[in-house]
Amino acid sequence: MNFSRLKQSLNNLITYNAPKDSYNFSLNNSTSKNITYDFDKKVSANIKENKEFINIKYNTLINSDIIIRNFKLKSNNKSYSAFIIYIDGMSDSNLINRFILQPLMMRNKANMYKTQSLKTYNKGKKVIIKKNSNNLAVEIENSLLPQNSLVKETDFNNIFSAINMGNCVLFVDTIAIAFNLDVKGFKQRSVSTPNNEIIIKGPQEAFVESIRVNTSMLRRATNTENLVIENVSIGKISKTPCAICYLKNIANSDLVAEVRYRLNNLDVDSLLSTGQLEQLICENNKYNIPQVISSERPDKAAKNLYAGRVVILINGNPYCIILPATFVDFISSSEDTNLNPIFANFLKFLRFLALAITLLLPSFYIAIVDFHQELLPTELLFSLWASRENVPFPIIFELIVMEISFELIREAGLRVPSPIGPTIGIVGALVLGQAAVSASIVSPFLIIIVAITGIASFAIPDFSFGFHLRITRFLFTISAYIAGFLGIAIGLYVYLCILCSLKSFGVPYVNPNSNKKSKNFFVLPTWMQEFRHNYLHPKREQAQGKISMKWRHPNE
Amino acid sequence: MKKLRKFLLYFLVFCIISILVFSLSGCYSTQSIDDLAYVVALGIDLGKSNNLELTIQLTFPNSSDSTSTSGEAAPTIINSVECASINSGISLLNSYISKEINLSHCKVIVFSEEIANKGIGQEIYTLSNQVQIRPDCNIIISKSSAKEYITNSKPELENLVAKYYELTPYSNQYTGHIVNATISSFFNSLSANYSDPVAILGNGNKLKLPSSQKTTEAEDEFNIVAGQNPLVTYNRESENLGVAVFKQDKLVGELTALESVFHSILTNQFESTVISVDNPYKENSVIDIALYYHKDTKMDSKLVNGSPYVNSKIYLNARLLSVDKSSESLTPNKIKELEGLINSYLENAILEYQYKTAKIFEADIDGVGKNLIKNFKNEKQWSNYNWSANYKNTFFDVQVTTNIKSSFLLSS
Amino acid sequence: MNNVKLSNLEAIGLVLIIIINHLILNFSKSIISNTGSASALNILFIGIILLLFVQFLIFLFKHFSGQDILDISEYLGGKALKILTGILFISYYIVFTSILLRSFSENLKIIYLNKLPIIIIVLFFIFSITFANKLGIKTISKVNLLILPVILFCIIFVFIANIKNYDFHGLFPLLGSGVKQTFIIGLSNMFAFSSISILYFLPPMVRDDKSFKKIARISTILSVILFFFGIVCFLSLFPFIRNSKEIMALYLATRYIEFGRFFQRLDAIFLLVWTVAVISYLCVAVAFSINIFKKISNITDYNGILYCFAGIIYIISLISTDLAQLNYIEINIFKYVVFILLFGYSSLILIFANIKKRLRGGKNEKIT
Repeated sequence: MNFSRLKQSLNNLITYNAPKDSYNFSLNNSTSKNITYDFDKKVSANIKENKEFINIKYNTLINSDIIIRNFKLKSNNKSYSAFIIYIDGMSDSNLINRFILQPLMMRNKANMYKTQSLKTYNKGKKVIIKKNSNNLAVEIENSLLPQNSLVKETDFNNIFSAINMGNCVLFVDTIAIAFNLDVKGFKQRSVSTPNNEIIIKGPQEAFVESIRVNTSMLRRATNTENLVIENVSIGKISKTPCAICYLKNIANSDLVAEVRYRLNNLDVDSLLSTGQLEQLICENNKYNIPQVISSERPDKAAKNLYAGRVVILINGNPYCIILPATFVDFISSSEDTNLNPIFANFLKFLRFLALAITLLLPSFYIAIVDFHQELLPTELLFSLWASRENVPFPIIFELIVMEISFELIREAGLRVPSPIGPTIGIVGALVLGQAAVSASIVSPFLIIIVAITGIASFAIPDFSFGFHLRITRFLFTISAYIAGFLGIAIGLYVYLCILCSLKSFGVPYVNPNSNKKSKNFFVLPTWMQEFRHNYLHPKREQAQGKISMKWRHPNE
Repeated sequence: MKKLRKFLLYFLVFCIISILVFSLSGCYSTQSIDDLAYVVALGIDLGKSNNLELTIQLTFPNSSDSTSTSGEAAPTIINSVECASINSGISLLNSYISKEINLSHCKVIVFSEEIANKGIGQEIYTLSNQVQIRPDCNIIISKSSAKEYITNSKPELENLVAKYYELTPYSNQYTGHIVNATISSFFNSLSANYSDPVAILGNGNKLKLPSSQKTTEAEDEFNIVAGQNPLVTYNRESENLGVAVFKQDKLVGELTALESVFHSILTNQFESTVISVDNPYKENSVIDIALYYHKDTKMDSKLVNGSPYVNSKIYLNARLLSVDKSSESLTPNKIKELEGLINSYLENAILEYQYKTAKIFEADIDGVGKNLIKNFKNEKQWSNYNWSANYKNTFFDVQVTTNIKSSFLLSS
Repeated sequence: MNNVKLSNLEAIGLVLIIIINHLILNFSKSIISNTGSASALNILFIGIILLLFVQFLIFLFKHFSGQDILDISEYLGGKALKILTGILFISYYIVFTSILLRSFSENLKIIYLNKLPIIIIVLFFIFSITFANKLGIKTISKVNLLILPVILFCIIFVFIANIKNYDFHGLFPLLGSGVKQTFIIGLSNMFAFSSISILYFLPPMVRDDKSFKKIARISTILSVILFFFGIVCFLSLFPFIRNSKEIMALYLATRYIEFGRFFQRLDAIFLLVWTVAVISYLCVAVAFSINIFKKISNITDYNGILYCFAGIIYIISLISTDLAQLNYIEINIFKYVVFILLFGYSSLILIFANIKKRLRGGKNEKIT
């Protein structure tokens, strides 16, 4: 065996070999020609033409989940060839069988007789319903399809988007109309408790992927006929249904118009998530500061609707976008209004502290240890000194390595399968930290700094804002390393400038003094929230009466 | 392509800037905590071959110690150098020590008596000008050499010698036997033309002092200065007791522990102390009285016939400490009597002290000049008056008001 | 930029930040060296005069609602006078901004960046000035308003935390170096309130005449109060302040603060705050000079000008060789320039414009 292989390889060395075929695929421009999409096609009266067009469009020969069912439709004792098209898995086949195919195919009273002879008895009186026997479409709509949602379509654009959403479309020979029947029956997640915005006191339901369920939740939460839910579809190919929701008697109409304008003027092929839309509609994405709130809580959305904000829902996303947003919104939680104002303000202050710690603690550590050692009390200095005695690395290197490994632990903890998720945390934080300290690679002080920074960053309620802070703190760390407190001061000033220059849908991101009537930063007691935030310029400025607790002052 | 070129350009600019910034600033200005040696005490003696002998004390807590918490004091290193000035001495020491010397955690600056007699103005100005030296750094005038003082300052209750230095001056809050003299107060008094500075009086070597100086009379229990402390057992040979009095930048005398109390009363730094007064009701016994702060001392200065007249009104709270049978009969009248006794005792002692500062030291350490300055219209008149020469002509008057408050836990 | 409207608070903030920086950058020192222990009295006296002056300004501006000194000088003497006024003010802002920048950088160098070359320290400031000014004057005034409470709190904190170190005998003798020195020569101490230069350019930026009046009065009163307390604080803290040349007195005052044995050395934290204040001040000054330039040259894109100004400030701030020169300029030249430009030249323009207006008043002419 071995010998023969050796012989062969020797042969290969000496003799001529044809060049080997190497698998060499590289992705270039598509070699097949682009099919020109003829989107303005109307439904034809000829059923074959329609079917051919659909076959081409949906590639039914290779597309496995497109179902076309051909059958003969009976009406007025005549039979017409017809077909329905739907997507397997998106529609409820039970509904299709019982309420579409059965009435259309089976012989029954409705399709056996001519309309003229059809008699309806109404309170004992003989009523002759006048019907144009030729109008098959009316006949089908009126008597053959016992469906609540039936739309007559002539444009193939609408037909395709309906099919894609799980509807079933009926084509009948001889009429240039298709019937769009709502038989959506795909599996979807049921409404459950929010995963990422957990609060203690307050409603415990979250948005789901389906936009209709979401709008229904909004409707229930706001409970007013003034809630307008406008439909917009975004994406030239995906046509993702989105909804602009606002209270028409509160929200500023310019704001609504601006949102509508921006959403309608997006030149994208597809839109799949709220994150994409956030980037597409914000004015300034340079500084990675989130300028709209995204939330999975209907109650938060409803609260913001009542404040005069606009909510955007996107089909397929359990998150809504709330806009415009200001800086304070990112450190306030939806729980704030549910709590005693003192607790809420304490929590808000705590979150502000967490923000400052996340942003500045590592840089302060660097600045103090490298430049301003006199700031430390002597005993602290000496214990810090002792803890660093055997550490070989410079402090900046030590800090950045630890910060990055902390981020790694966090990212890895997200990625690993959930049963071993906590293990990563324990291994990463405890074992690694302990080992690093006892091996004198990092000082215990630094572990404390990094851990506090990490914990503080978890206290920021908004995920993307927390992310922004985590990134920015590296810049602050470097600026502190360059020039100590001078570097931090310059960093802070520039950062404040950026914050102040931002505008979210025409509202200044930081508005220190625009609000005389209602406080911006602090949560007022419920009975004092008399005015809506006037930076939103709502149509109704007053949210409650001057005395909201009228029972206490019955005479005023 | 255009975009790529633009990106490359930005990248290049970014690289150049970051390299510039890091290479120019990072390594220039960073004084990492690892590279510094922290001086906790600075001693200045008269040099033998040169102007000064500079002593520094460094401390380095071991990391091995900090984990095991053996409770042992962190080791210290003491280095001395003969030098022409403080700064040259530090740079000489820098060439000897592996790490850079940093004074930002220096707790005390010790001057020997000899150099203080010659004048330490230049040194104080130099040190005040150092950014690293903190204004709250204490100034100690040692009767022995500064080096001896520092060598013999060993912490007993603390791990760090820095903490020992830091805590000691705070004893004036409950004894009043020293003052919390910092370099800033020293410098302020020195630079103003209406006051004279003081410093803590210390001694670094008890054994060398002749025993004849020690007084053992009961009445003068607190009439002692550093070095005369009747403490019998001790592990540490350095101590602080009393106040060093300066006339401008020259040491002119020392105040005993009791006089230090009067000094702090007059300058409103007083908090509490214990004094002993002869018992009027019993032979050969004393009454211990704890004195507490009551109100700020009101000092009123006037110019009478060209010479200053100072009237000080002192308000104190007092508490009787010693209990014996006689305390049975503490009645309002008797308390009045005792108050009068204390008042007259204090008035006499304080007057004596004030005249001592005026006639013997001629140093205005109690801020009389500051008070007197009100009587002058402008600075020219004041500087023409030449306060430092005129202080010795001052007349003093003192009124002490003492209130005896609650006294005993047990009362028979 | 002319359509930028500032709220009242923002406008007051602009004036106050300049006064605060004069306090930080040791103008109080020059005042004390001028009038000695009577400086507090002197500031009170000057404050009253200043209030009267501001009242006078308000009166002069009354007939030119919504117009700043540039418009008024154009009305008085045509384009040429407008450009002259503009250039005078721009050079005033640029030169003294750069000098203050340099002196603060030198102070930073003394305090802790002693190994960093001054070129780089100044460069940090120039960077932040350029960046902030790209975002416009509204942003700057907003940031200014955000940080102002912090700075004010810190200053008041310094005043209060030092209370046990105060020795009010430092205020005596009451008349300092004499009546003449205090009340007549001491008038030159008005230069510390050069912040009112902002008032000359505020009218088009604020909502209406009424708010301008409000801003002018409130900011002046606050400035005087702040400076008065600053002077009292320094006089009673440092007996040596009268006859020595030291760096920022406010910084020295922070070194004295201690709470117990743990919070003892807080000066570095305050340094951070002072630095932010100085940057804010520099940005305000540059923003105003850009504003003036825009007005006299009618350009719309000001980025090029911004880079030019930043470069000029950078160069000017590096010209002088040492602190002594800077001090000399601050004390001797700055004083007179401020006096001539702010209190002399500008008020003359206003007065003459008013007279011109009065003379043409009957014709009810439209102001250009």
